[in-house]
Amino acid sequence: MKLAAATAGTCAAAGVCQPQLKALAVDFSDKAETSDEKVFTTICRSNCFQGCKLDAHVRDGIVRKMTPSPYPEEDYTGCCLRGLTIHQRTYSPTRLKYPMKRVGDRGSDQWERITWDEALDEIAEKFTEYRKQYGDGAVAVEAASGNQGTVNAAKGVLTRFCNALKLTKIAGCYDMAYGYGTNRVVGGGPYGNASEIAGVKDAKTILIWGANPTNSSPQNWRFIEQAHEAGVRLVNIDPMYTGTAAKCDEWIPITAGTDVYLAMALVNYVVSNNLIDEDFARTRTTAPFLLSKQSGKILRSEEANAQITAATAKAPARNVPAYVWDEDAETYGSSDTVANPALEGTYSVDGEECTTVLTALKEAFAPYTLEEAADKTGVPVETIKEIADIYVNQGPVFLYTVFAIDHYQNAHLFGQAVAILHALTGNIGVPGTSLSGFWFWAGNFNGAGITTVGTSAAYGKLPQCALAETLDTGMTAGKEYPIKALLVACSNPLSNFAEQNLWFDTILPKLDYLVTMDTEFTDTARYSDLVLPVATWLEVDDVRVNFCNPFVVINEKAIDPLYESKPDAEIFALIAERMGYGEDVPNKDAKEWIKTFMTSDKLAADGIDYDRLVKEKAIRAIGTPDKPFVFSEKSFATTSGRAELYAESITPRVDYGQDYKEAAAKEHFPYARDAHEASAANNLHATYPLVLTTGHYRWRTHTQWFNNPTLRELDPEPIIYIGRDDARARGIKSDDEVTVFNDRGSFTLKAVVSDAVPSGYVNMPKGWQRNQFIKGSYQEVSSTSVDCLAVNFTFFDALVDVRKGE
Amino acid sequence: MQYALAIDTKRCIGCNTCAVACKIENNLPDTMWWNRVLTVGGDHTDTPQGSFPHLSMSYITLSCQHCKNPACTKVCPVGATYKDSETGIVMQDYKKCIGCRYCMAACPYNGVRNFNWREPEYTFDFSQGSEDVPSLVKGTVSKCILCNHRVKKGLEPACVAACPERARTFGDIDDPNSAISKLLASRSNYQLLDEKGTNPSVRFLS
Repeated sequence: MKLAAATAGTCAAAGVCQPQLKALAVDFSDKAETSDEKVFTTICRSNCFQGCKLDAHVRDGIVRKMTPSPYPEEDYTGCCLRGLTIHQRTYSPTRLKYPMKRVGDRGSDQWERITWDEALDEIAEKFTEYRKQYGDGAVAVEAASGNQGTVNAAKGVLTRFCNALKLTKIAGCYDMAYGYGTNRVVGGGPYGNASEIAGVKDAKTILIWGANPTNSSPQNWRFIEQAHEAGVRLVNIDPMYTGTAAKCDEWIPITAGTDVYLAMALVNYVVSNNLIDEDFARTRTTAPFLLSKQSGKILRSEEANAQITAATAKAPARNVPAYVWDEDAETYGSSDTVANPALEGTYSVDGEECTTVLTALKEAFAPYTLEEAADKTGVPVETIKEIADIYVNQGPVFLYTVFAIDHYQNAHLFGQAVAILHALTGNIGVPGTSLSGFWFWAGNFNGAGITTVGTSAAYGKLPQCALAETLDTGMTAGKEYPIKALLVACSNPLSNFAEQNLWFDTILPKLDYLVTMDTEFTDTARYSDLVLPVATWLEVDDVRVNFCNPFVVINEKAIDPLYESKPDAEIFALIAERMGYGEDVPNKDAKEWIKTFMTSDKLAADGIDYDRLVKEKAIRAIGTPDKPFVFSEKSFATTSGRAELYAESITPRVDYGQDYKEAAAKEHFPYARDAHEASAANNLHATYPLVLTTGHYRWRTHTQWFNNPTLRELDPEPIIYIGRDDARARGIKSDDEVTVFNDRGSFTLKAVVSDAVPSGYVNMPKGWQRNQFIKGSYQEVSSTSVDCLAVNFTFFDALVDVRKGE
Repeated sequence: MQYALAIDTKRCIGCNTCAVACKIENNLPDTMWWNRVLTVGGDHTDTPQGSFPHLSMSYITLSCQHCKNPACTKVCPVGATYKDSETGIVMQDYKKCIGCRYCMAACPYNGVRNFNWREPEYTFDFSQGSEDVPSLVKGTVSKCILCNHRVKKGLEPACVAACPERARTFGDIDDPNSAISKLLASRSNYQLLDEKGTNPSVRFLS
């Protein structure tokens, strides 16, 4: 083949390169080419969280193309192939055009077009009846990250609707374990643990641990590669060889699900060899705090303890001092006054025996040897020492991890351990450091102005992972909890919740009524009773506070909603009106909601308001171009204001009545344990010897773009990558049909033999819908088993086997 | 003057944004691609060469190479494919093309030209991209012309403007002071199938 020859030629010709230090300026101008072409500024609202500003080019009332729209800072300008095809989602041949009512069995794809009046009347009547008979919360709403706007998004008028009617808003279980773990140390909640990506230039090492940004976050990668060209070292830890691994200076393969062993051993190595950053540990961590041996509590003055007791969720205690040992005075004193606190030692405070937190930590981490970590992770002892050297001598370390390790049931312990590692080595709270590749920031926007309606929030806390059980038993936390109807918006739960067969076996049979609002017939829409057509991103006014970049961007409506589609916010208002809640959820022009969102005293103080947004389209609302936002530079959002090496109080992320006390007692310091299912130590491994990972690829964001015509030409059908040895052992060749299975379910698709995949794994690009597989769906084999504290889906913590054929 | 592309294989992540930008800007029919991304590695997209864990993988993009000494223009009996004297772009004139496909046979690069066996078919019932691009014609050959309609207005080709990694540089390689010439002078680079003697204007920075 000529092509093969061309490719072979390139490999042979590859030579040595000199790093090029400066990015070349790119001309992004794409002016209207004729007087009747109009250009609207918009923002990709995908949950890849890359926040790409785009121009929508309209001729004759039709959006003809999308192009990357310049940010005030060129480094942030860019988009990917999905952004370029947003208009194709608006004009999709399979778009949901009208309200559709199911006429056959659920999932039989038999529909009848009905009017909006008929649809809204039916919903209002049923919701009213369920609330009357079973309580307000009998109507549940499932909304996820599928629409990252503000007005027409899960956090927008949808939340107002839930609050006004006191509906059950199902608690998310996606991607929260890692941050739940780091939160124990550095605060910030499940997503507040990262610095602005532009800060990678201030790092000395970027450690990409369990992430593949060349494929899943190309806008972040642009910054990483620029830093790389300027001399920053890139190190990648990943079980598989990826596009990212190919670009890094070093790739360290690891056994999936064992990362916590590596992090624990690194902490032990650093503390037992006295390699910590002592100044940082003394002033910015709780290392010198005195910990009672008897009570397991940090010792504080009565006044300080009273501050903690008085704290509430809305007004949490911050910067509360504790007792430390004053080395000069040889007695205890308060951390805010003692100049020279002891980092280590055993002391007595008014007769109570105590040690410093660091001394207790050393003891807790002592069992985690390099040898055990090497045995568990497959990373050689010498390599682990090299990673330790990165933390000790080659910082600042920017840790770029996202949600892969998060998908195992020990993920929060990894988060807690790696945050401690960063804190003890001074790789946090200073420029060039981060604990995550995904930077989520809230800013001073008035989101509450949209969501608050004067009544209490939705009752109960029902996590996604417990939906099937709650529907099955009608109970949660020992109390009756009937759910009769489910309204789905900005979400595709049948596709994205773990253990898909629970939908067919339990959730659907137990649900009286399922309504889905979407733009396409997703898996969830297909099994719904009523489907409502939602306006796409190009057909509404909205605003997005970006994650992963520092801008708030306007989403100008480029065209009117096509067919009979309506914006999400309008649909909620129309339902509310029919249920007698029209005043609480008014049908306002989106621009009015945006004005509310853009109005706060703090925004005004920064000179940011609606009019400026309309004029400038994008405003940097955090950090500056010269000084990108650094996570926790001043203090940590913790009780002590320091990085807390000892987690004094352990509470579950979502308390839905589960038994967690025993587990919580063990986690004041993290410990290492195997993944729940995906572990060689698991007996099930003999039956199902392969770990299935379902990665993010460029072709979709979760299940969005699943049937985009242009992208499907490049990536027409589901494939699964299998390693050479595992393929040979099963008689599988590339392009063979294979079935992936375990006790929970199965799916059939094409195999591709790839040397990127080591023995013992299969990996597939995620996001396909059931009717795109030869049979089944990848989400059938994942598990809803969760850690009782992290309460998070563990998509990769699943064992399977693969056979040739169906 | 010779307009050219320099593609930085260190920066290219194989994301296909350039390929999609080209397809939409030029309103290409279903299944037609003038610019494609190839994995330099294993036999399939995103697969490496070597055996675990000793692996390598990179990407190149492949479109018309706008050769200085093109094979295609010499064999075209009607002058439908020709080298524009002003820009050095290898152009394709659908009005003159008689569909003999000699150019496709002569070109050493596989798949950069497309032949319209049928009337072009489109998923969407409206034209996408720029309105300045000529409509494709049944029975003729088409390919990348470096977004000549944009270049004429001083814009960069769509693939260059859309690249999120700034891996593509466009410019005149006959002008030693152009950004592309300076870039090529500062970095080792290669041409695809340089042994064929066509002297491609697309260079890959390695």
